Amino acid sequence: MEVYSTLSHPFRRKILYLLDREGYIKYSEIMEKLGLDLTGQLNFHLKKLGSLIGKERKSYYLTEDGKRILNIMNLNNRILAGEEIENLISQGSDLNRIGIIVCNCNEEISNIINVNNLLNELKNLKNVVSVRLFENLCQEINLEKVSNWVKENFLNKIVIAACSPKSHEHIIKHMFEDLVENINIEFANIREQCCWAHPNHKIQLNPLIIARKAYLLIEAAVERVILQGVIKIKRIEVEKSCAIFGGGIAGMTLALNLARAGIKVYLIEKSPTLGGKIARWHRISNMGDCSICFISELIGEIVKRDEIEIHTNTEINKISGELGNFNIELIKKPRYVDAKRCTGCLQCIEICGNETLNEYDFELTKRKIIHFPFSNCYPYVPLITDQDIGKCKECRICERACLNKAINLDQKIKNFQIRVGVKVIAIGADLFSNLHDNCYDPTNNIITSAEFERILSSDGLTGGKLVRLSDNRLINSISIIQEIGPSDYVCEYSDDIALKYLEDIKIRNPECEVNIFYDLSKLKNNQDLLLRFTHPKFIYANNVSVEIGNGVNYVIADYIEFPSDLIVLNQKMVPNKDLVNLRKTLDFTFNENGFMSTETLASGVYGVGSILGPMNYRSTISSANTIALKIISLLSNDYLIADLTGININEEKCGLCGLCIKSCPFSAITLDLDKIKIDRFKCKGCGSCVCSCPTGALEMNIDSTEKIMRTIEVFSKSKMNPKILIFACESCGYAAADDAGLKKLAYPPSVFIIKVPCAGRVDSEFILYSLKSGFDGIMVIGCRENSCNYIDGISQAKNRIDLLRENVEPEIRKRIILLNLNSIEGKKFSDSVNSFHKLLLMEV
Amino acid sequence: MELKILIISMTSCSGCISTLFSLDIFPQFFEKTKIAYFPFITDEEKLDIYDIALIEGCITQESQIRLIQEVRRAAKKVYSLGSCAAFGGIINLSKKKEGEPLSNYIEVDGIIPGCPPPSSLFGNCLINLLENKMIKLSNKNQCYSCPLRDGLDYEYKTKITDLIPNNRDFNSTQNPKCFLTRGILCLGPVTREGCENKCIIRGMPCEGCLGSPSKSLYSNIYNFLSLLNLSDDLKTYKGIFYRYSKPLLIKR
Repeated sequence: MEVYSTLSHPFRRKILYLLDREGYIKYSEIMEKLGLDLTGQLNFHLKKLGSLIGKERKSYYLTEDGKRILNIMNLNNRILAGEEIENLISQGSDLNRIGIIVCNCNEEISNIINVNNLLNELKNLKNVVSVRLFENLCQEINLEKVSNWVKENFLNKIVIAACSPKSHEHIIKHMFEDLVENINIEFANIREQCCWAHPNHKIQLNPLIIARKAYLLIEAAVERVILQGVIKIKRIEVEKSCAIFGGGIAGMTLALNLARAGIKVYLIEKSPTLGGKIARWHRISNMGDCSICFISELIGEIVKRDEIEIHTNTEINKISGELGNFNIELIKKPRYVDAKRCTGCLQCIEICGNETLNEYDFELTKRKIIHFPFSNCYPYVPLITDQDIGKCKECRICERACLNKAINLDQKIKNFQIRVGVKVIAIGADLFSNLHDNCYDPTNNIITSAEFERILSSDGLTGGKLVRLSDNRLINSISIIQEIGPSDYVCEYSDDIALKYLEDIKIRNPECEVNIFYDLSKLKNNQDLLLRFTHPKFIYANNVSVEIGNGVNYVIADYIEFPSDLIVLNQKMVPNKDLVNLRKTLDFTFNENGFMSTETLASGVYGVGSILGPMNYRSTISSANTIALKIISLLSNDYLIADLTGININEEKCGLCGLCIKSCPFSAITLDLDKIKIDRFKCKGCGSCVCSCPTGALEMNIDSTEKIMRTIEVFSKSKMNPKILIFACESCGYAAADDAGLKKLAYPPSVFIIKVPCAGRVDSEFILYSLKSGFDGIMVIGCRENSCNYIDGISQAKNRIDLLRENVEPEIRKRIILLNLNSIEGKKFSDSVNSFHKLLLMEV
Repeated sequence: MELKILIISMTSCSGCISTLFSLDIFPQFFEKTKIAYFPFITDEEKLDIYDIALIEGCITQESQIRLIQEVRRAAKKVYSLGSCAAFGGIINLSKKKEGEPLSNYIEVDGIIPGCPPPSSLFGNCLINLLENKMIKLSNKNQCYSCPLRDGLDYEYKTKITDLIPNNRDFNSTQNPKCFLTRGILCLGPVTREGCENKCIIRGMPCEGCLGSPSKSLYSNIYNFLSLLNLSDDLKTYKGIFYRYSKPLLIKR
């Protein structure tokens, strides 16, 4: 009974919930998270919780009793948390109890410098509690020693003076996993960039100079770890489900893939049936099956899966939320037939007296008002469209005729909501329809490829016979004009389609003459794409036009006339017309051809199939499979935490100038109703935006400006001249410096290296400040220009440094250098540093 | 208790002091304080002890350095008044003289920037001084309150070719758009907010007299200009840096 009274108060439930989730929490943090102002209140609740919680090192934790109670009660997280607690996790600490580990690396360090002296010096640094020497820190046998050391000294921040973080960072961070937070570990690279890089067989160097540099490297790391404050990052629980918009071949394949992996899928289709465009086609090229058999087989499999919920005739109303947690409002349009009651007996269709054009056959045939879109459609329930419902309400004959009372002409729109983790857009493309230039006229036997599919199809316009639409005469000559549509891009598979037609025509009428035309003038720069494949039936002409004759039409290719019983215009795929409307609700941008651009998608949004560009069956399936893998791996997480290397915004400083939006290479920053919005899952942490932010509103979580400035200050204490400061990008420049160390290519000990995530992070402020604080030369080392990890980080750095160099005094200009290296160019690194050093030596 | 005030000019146009007289709160300020040392209107006396020193103008001569060092010793709080005292000032545009900000020689407790300080900002600063509070300047940039921000596309793609709008552009006040989208260099993004965008509202781009909201003005300008599509002659036009400050390491 006591437990119930303990849990009766929401604050106490919240405290238990927080402790259960985060392990140890400080008193002040509990105050903050509960939004309490009075300590008395919190003390009361903590006292009430009694033996369920314990206190250690100023932090509270859940005792075994507490854990058991939570388990027994099987309390739902939401009940415990209530609604108010924000799902934030925090890392880091403002408290500084620093431990330094110097790793001797099999005497590699002590061979060069006197380690004992170094250890003694380090003990005097501020906030340093303990300094310890390890012989080989990276070996697993040290795990226990390290763990005891951290616990005995109550350390919460660690500085590792050892090899390059590039070589053993992951092992060491793993060692400290349960002891210290990852962001509270700093590295001082005293092996590759100090003890290995400076001893030179040509010049005798005083070991004290190298020891001094090692000391400064460690001091800077200590300063950095002190500056590492608390980072708060939102933790997002992942809704393990996926919404797919579009029930075509791409959407259905993806749905099936995801369902097989156990992910709940909502398949949302705007039209009344699944199947998409491919359902109308006669067959898929290079596949024996007729496409409707293929589609109905696929639909059959989808319907069987419990994981897939199909909503046809449904449109999107509103989408809110973010990756892992989207809330989608949908509108289900009325079908006027109750799917649960309908048996598909066709009574209503037989009795219906009203006819209208059949859009499934491109309005070339007629259908009843109440109809099935096509045989084998899913759901197999007839429907009435909204345009026709007015007529039906006057007649109501089908309503009376239906034995199962399935028809309800007064059905209303239904609104409903779903919650999903990711959303996929698979609405496909449209076919080019502005065919006026090509004399398109189905009644005069000039038809589109889509309509030709309906002629070939056995349930189509002519029952599969190869006859003319105008007079039912057998067709003896067919001309196919390829690539009808915008000339900016090509549909690479159009020759496949033409060959498929060729086969199908020859089966039906072996005598039929088939000519396939390419108009080279309309292909512009894309000609070579088509010429890789040639076929004797293909005619490449500089000018292809259609001329209407009496009874027979002509295709004129380079002044040669080809009389044709039927002319087929093979349409290109063009961007779906719904794309423009969906853009705002679904958060994506267009590429240069008007299709969806994959690069700038917001996180949690994917596109599959021909929404991305013209695609045939095979590439559509493969794109669906790729995306399926991505989604499965994403949704296999219980919750998502944005990378700590990212950025944070201080809205009190933000002036909304948008320079960060301009500088972000990943479009992770957008403007959302007078507020800068950062997509934390898209942000890769290059820091270009932090650099361009004029008000200092943006700051990096880990590589903060303050830390870099402090590092510059510490390094400037070196008395060696001339001093060189190198800003090296993590992936290339820093690795090249390590490479130089590994190869023992010597450079002077007055060279200091600061690691930055990307050359784009190097603010002009850093360069000017280091020159001001006494450095004689500045080098910025980034990746090669077209291989930057962060797309255009290096080119932003280049622009910035070029501008700076152009404007400073000529003597200063020589002292600022931008270098592009890759990670194995250690030789080039040491050579350039040495020649730069020599140049500065002459100046000083 | 009346605050004892010292107001003194270094090399300047005296514009900031004139602005002080024309402030709407100046009579109040005058009542509540005792302006004890003010060579602009009274004869010079020997320096006493003061609560607040307002120094206008930049440093161009040796003697001025000694003078402000004395003032520093005599006053409890020293404030730079105007952009000349705060950043070095417009004198640096001239090729003959260089002006240095006070902070290069003495410790300054705060700045009242502007050329001259905009009246609302100046007034607020004086009120803060009377209440013995620190001067609080905005952390945001001009864009935040800019009336033309709505028209800003965040692409910054337009080629920037001009420093000021041409006559036709200046006179057309209908639906004005952000200067940067019109090919005119506006330093608003790298300039502190606080002047109610006076220049921008009157059709001139921001020139940056209020200084930078964070970092140093010149590093901010480098970062900013490197993101723009700048014409070649503007790239090397050093007046951008010299308009209100004496920049570091840049030679005219």
